[in-house]
Amino acid sequence: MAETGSVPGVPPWLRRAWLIAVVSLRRQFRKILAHPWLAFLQGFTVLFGAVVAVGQLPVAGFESLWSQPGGYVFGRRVAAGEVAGPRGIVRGFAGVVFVLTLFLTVLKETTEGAMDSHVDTMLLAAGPRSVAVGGLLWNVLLMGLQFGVVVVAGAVAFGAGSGSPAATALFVLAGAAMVATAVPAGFVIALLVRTAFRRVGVLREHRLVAGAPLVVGYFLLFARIRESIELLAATPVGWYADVGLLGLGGDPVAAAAVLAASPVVAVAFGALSVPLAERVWYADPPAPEDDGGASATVLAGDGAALSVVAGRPARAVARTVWLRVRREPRALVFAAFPLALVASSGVEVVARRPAALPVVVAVYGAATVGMGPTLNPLGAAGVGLQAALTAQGGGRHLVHGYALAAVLPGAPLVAVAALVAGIATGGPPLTLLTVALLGAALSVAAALVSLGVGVAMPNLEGLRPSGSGIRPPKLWATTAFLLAMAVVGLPATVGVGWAGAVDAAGGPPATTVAAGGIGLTLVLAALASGMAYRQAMAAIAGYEME
Amino acid sequence: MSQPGDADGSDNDGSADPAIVTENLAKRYGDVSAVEDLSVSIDRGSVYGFLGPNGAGKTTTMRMLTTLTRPSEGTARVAGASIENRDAVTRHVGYLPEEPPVYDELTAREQLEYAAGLRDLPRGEATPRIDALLDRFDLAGDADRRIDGYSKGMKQKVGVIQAVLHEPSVVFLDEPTSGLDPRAARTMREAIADLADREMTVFLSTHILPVVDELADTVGVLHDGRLVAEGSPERLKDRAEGDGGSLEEVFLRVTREEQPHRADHPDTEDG
Repeated sequence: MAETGSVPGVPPWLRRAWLIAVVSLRRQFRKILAHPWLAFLQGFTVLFGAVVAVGQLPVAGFESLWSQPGGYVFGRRVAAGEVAGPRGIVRGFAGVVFVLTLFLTVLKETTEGAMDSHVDTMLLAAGPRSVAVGGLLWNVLLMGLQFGVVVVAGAVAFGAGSGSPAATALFVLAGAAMVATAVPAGFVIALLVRTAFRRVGVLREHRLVAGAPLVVGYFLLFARIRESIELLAATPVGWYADVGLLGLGGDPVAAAAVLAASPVVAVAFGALSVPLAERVWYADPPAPEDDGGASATVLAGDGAALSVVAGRPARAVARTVWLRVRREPRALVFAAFPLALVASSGVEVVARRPAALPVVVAVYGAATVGMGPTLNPLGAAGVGLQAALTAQGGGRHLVHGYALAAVLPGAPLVAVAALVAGIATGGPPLTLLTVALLGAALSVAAALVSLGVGVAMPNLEGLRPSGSGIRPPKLWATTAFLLAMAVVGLPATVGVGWAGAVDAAGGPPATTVAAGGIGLTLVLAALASGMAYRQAMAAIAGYEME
Repeated sequence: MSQPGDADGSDNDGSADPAIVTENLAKRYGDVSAVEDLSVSIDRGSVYGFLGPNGAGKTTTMRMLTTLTRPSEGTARVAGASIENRDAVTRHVGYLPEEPPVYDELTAREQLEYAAGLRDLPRGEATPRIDALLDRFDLAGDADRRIDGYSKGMKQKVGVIQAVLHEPSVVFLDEPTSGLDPRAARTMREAIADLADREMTVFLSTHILPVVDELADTVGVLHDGRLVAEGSPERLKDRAEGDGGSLEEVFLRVTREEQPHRADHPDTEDG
């Protein structure tokens, strides 16, 4: 365990805060190491960030792995006397890292507060100041380790490219200053959000909607990475780069401002976090709210219309899924990250072929429909799985219910989104109708494919008595599902996106190419969903609990 | 706020003052009353059995007495300190909530060393105390195993050790025997008796009436947030002699839904 003896000059409350931070970090590492998929995902993300930060290297074969310029190339350009261009990009990159650090801290702290687990016991033992500052320090350590790898990799690459070891040290200093400001700022913002959710009933009731701009911002940050870099380069959060570029064209005033402000900002936010955290921890529980029961009943109640498509047991399963998601929307946060990772491909396609926009919206929308609880139905059912499976026809109803839960809200939404995208690209009425139907059909297929994959590769952690929440799917299930959706959506994307070009090159008429692509996608969707449905039903019928 | 003439706001001098005193304590959430007009006085070194149906307000009461929740009305002193003085109260209390507050990723020894660190217990003092308590609770052999492999009873034992590690003068135990097998429950009962023998005041909330019958010096029954009966187990049983004379009969009689229980007419004996 961490040393708990007294350290001269360190006040006891700060010593306790440090102990909380170190033990929390140790728990986090053990938690990650206990879940190989989580360790892989985190390791891959950090490694990917490091590769982006390092960028092109003068190593044979490296270009085939990664061809974008990074720290090394910008270092070379600065050493060659070119300053303005690289400085702008490095500033933008620093801005992106700052915003990402801030965003991830806000997201983590609003969905699962650093000290939420057994906070009462810690408050009694160590007092609110130690617990709040301990939680903040833990976040600083966690983000520092994750982003530290990226920053150090970029700093070393820049130092090597520019031939200035001092630049490496200065970029590491800039990274430390950035984490020391972005994390406390994010921590305080998250506490403000949590306080607002506790105190304002409307916000609490619509917290999913309230959180949407944050998720959209996260998507945009990556989907429009070039614009993000340009935008952030012109703001003070880009000034951290000037610290690293001191003596190599960086603005000394901006660098001095950042270095002077960072400790002040860190301490100020740290001090502010204590009363805010107390407001969250000692607040009375919120008053009973509209918990979504009414809307869930509208969606899957005993209405005659729905009884045509599903029996009462399946509707009951669907209703329960909606209620759980509605009451714990943060349980679906896991879906945002893989979707954000693949979003840039769609943006790239649309940038090159704007006509493909409605199809891209349909494919990505459908993928989103399948990224929820359907991708891990057994784990999502959790402690309720035994009851579901021991009911008459339980397995079948479970599959149907989860499919219904995804398709009923998902298919119309995706159809409307694809229709809107079609109108934006100026398609004729027949095209609009086609893309809307495509969106709906792909959503149904996505739900079924997702169920097939999810039942085959369940994450069963939710079956432990302590795990009653909706469990995220396995990494391999997510990968397999997204891959399947990419294959299914490819013909329609290529067909519609490149129809004009094929026509112009003397090939078949554009309408034929587009219709052919959409047709092939629908055939693939039907085949994939049929196979997946049969697989899900067979697997769940023969499922044996451990 | 500190009390006059006392550095930490408490007067924990081992005098005959009660360990816990509440006066008209109440907690309301909007229009919902969780605890109403609660007045009790609990002697130092005694075991107070706090009974009540689910939702009666037992946990809310314990949260107020441990300063985790502010009362809407009334006052209380724990170990001589006002519950408005959080620092003064928390240093004298230990609390085991219904769900044992232990981390699955740590071993029992790591968890207890962590708890000792949070309480600023010097390592030289904490280590032998942890070893002795692990031994006392039959956990010494599993102390270096991660808690995620523990049974509920083992987790509960770690939770109790954590609650008393700093040797508080008042310890609050919320359902400490729930979910335990008979052997573990017996160990827990013996441990609670042991705490009382060491002059700790034990505020024991439980549904398991024989535990209260065996251990408690005084029993309080809470129903709909109000104290509806209080007294020694023997005296309460005497009163229920016509109904069979058991604590269970007393409990069932005073918590009958149809029976009105007004704060100004509590069915109390000693309080």
